[in-house]
Amino acid sequence: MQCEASVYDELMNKLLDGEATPEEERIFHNHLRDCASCKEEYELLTDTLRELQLQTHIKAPEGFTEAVMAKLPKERQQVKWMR
Amino acid sequence: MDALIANMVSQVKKGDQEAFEGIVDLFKDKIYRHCFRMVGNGHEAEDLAQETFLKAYRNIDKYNNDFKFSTWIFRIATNLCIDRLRKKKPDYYLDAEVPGTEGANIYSQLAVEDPLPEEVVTENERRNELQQEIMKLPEKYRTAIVLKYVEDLSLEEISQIMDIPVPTVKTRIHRGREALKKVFQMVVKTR
Repeated sequence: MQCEASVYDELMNKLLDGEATPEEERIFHNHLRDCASCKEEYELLTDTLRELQLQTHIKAPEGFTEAVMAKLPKERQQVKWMR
Repeated sequence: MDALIANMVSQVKKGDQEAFEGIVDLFKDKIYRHCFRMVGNGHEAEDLAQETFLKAYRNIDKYNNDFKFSTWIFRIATNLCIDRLRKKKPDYYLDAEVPGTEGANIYSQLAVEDPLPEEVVTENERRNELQQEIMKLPEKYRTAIVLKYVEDLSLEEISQIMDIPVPTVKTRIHRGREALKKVFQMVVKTR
């Protein structure tokens, strides 16, 4: 069942944007105790977003820097040599 | 950090190619990750990330201090990724077999850092699932969500990178979250 109160929807967005005041945060968390649908939604979102933030293991492949440096246009290199 | 980057940039502007190496080293993981999140495949992400740095190098004289350097280079990467995505069919990446391989799809090409054998299956599954969900988001929502939650950038920075006003960034993040939630709900339910 969907929670009818759009005010909590808005609060959830504020919270997830990191823009809720401590008071708003308190009100929202109180609401979660009574509202299973908001609770489920909030947990699903925070879990998903947390997982996204944990994806720091993705790194540029070995030899990336060397590959870029090898492709730089040569003329700028010469500017340096001529100094 | 900002002073260090500013110094490197001014060296590069003077023609010191080696200083650019420092810039690449500093940003390569962030830019590669961003491209990977945007296009969903390792080879293309590498290609796009390289292109980003080459373009930054060629245009370094156009960089001024109106933006943070990171904002500027993220903007280059984002635009290149979006250009690439627009040239493709939107569903190309989802489960498409990679041309020239036998049955390998993009999910089998994720860059992985040698996890323990028993962790491999579950870790990869979760990772692929998440990437799969991200790929389902329309590109404008995907960009906003990735910049905000993967790269942890401020709304102001995202607004500069995407070249849209802050309230629009917010709307896109909200809609992106909403869409991500919906697709994720389906995944959870079908388990």
